[in-house]
Amino acid sequence: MKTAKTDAKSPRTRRIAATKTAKTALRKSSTSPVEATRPPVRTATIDDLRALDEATRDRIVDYVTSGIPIHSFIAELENIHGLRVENENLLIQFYQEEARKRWSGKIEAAAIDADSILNILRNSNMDFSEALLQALGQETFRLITQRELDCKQIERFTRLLLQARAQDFSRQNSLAMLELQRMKVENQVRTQIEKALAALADEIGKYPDARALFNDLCEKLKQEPRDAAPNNVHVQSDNLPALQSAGVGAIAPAASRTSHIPTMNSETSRDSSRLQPPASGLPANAVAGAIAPALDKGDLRFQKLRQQESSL
Amino acid sequence: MKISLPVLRAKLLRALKPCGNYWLDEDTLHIQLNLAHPGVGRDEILLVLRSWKDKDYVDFRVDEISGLTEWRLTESGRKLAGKAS
Repeated sequence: MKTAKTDAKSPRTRRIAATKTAKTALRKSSTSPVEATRPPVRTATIDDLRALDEATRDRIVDYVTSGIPIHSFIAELENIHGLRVENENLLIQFYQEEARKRWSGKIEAAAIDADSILNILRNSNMDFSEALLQALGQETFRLITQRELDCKQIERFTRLLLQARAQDFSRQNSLAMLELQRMKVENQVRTQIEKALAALADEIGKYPDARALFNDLCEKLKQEPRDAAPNNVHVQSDNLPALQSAGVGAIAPAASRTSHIPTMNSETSRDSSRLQPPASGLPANAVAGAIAPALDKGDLRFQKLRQQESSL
Repeated sequence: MKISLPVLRAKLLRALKPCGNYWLDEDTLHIQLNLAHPGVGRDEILLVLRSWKDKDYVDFRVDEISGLTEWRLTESGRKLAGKAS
């Protein structure tokens, strides 16, 4: 006998019951994406496995090679491809076929790949010796063709690569060192020339007669264009004794330290009345070009000396 | 299944030809030949290779680290492989 209480269900109770009913119906009717797309399952044959797409075939090979238990993969084959593998030997037989097919083309591909790597290295900015390239190529070929890598192979390959990199670094360092040396030698030569010219200016500044002669020389050099400097600069013979007494011999050691400055020893000044062009390969206009700035500097110093003398 | 000598020679040439100037070790060569015809012995392979060495079709060296003997075709060997293919 139904009571009034149970017979007249409250709205809340009715709502809860309706929700439960709806959920049950929904669960029964809904299917997972896998279940929705699952093809009909049938027993797999070797032809079915051969007909699989390449990605799945690769995965079968990887599974067998890796040695991981392939139960999960068999389940996946059944769920996704509808193939029920009842015996693992089928997969192993399929693997042997696939491996043979892949291996046949492996050696040819290895040679092509190794050559490609060498061509890239040859055309790169890095400078490899041919012997090193050959060794790298052989090692690459060996790594591709041999199925198992061992530590010694990797160590050897790494050593070759490091050697190649060290060769390239040492070449770059050598080039940088040569550049530095060149700059250093240029600086040294420039410094020596400047020192010699400064010593010349000092010496000439001490002696009035030499100063006068030097002023004449400056005027002559300034008048003529700097591009066509005279090969011979004449020194008046009657002033030679003055030059000698002014201690031209003191100038000679400073001037002779550089090969670009003509030497003025006492014998030269006595025997010849002209300054010889430099014995080095430099043309005279280069010497004049080098001396001209020093002459300008010397002018300023002479002007200062004159001012000092006039003030005395 | 026993393989005949001419077939073995042809397969050896086919295996060594794509290597070009690279050396192929004996182990890999042995695997390569056994893929198509399982049961090819090492002695059979070495017999053919040594006879070819005398005729200057192949050259060999021993890798100092692995200790494996490596083989490759010489210029005349490549010509022979070209004719055979």
